[in-house]
Amino acid sequence: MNKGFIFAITFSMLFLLLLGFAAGFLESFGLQRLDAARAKAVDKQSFVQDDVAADLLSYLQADITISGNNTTTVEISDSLPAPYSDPSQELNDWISYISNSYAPGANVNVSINASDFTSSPRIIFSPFNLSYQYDSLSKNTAITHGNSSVRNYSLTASLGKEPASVNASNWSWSGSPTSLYITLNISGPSGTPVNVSGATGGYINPNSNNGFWLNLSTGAFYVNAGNYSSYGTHSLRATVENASASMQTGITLNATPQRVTAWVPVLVRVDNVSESYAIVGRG
Amino acid sequence: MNNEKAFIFTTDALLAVILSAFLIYATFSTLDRAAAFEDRTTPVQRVSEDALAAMEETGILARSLQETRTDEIRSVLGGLPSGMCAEVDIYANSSPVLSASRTGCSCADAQELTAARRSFVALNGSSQIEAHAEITGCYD
Repeated sequence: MNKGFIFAITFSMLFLLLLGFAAGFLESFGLQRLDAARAKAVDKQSFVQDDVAADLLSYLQADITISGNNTTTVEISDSLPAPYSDPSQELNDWISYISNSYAPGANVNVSINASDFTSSPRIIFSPFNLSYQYDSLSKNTAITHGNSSVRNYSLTASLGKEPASVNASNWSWSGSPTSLYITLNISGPSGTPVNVSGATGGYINPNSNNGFWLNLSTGAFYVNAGNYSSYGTHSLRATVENASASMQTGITLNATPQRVTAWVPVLVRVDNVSESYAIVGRG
Repeated sequence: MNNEKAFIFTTDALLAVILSAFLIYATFSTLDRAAAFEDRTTPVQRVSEDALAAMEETGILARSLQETRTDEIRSVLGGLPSGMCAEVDIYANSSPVLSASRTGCSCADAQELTAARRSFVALNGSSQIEAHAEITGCYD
């Protein structure tokens, strides 16, 4: 009788222990699956945001490379002007395509708010308070709004037409080192680099407006550097007029290498959960 | 009498050990199968997404659409890890226009398929084409 009682208690406890293990395992397995599902959802949202940002760069016909060794360098490849007959319409068509055609097939909800970008198209580089701004979506002008963190610009431009003459009466190289050095490599289809006031590189006064323009027989290419209009010191502006230019703007920052994020003020919301500006470059 | 009791206890203990061993083996076997399923699905999805993103950012998708060619896409698919099969379909304005598969394999009979979709734009004169590419991946 006593033995039977002890056996019954022992087996009941063993059974309860087994049930406890099973419940614990199920809970742990369920949590793992939940974490995996959440991680997949976050991955998917990031993938979609990255996709949208890549499309924006393609729309702008631009590319960005950020690198750092002893200094931080930003390289922007671009072409002026925009190739579209109606740039605003192309942007709106793309937004509509993403929201109404791409997103449903990808099983996500995507909404894009580009009103800030449309009114002031630009690429912003954080944390340097540096921006690369266009006059409009037509992209006849690209302005790098600089500040004292910029110590070197390198402007390479391949023009669609051969320069006939250079007007550099408002451009002066500084005789002594300043806080801003500029390297110019501007050429037409022949590839012959243009000299500006007898040189293709040197220091300029970052606090004054230095400008030159190239006569392209039909059209012109304008460059301003330093403090042009209200763009701030250490700025660089390039403008095409009835012409085209494929440009690479290199910006060397007077700062120790650190993480730089390039983004455009286009708000991308995925699945009504994740909202952020489109990040077009990191380095 | 004592021998009978000892025999019963020993048999009981042996049965308990055999039953426990069987339960442990069954549990670990099930867990292994679940883990294997997770491990097999995730990498092929990641590789598919990465391949698609790389093809967009290097301009391969846009060029393929503009020039109606698939050689560059097939070259990327050929560089995927061995044992993985994939197919890329390109849609312009929601209509299928191009398709390319990794040579020598097919996902037609695959039990586990993964899919990813990437939008892109391609310049077409003075306008742009809105398009997307879909990749279907599987283990060969």
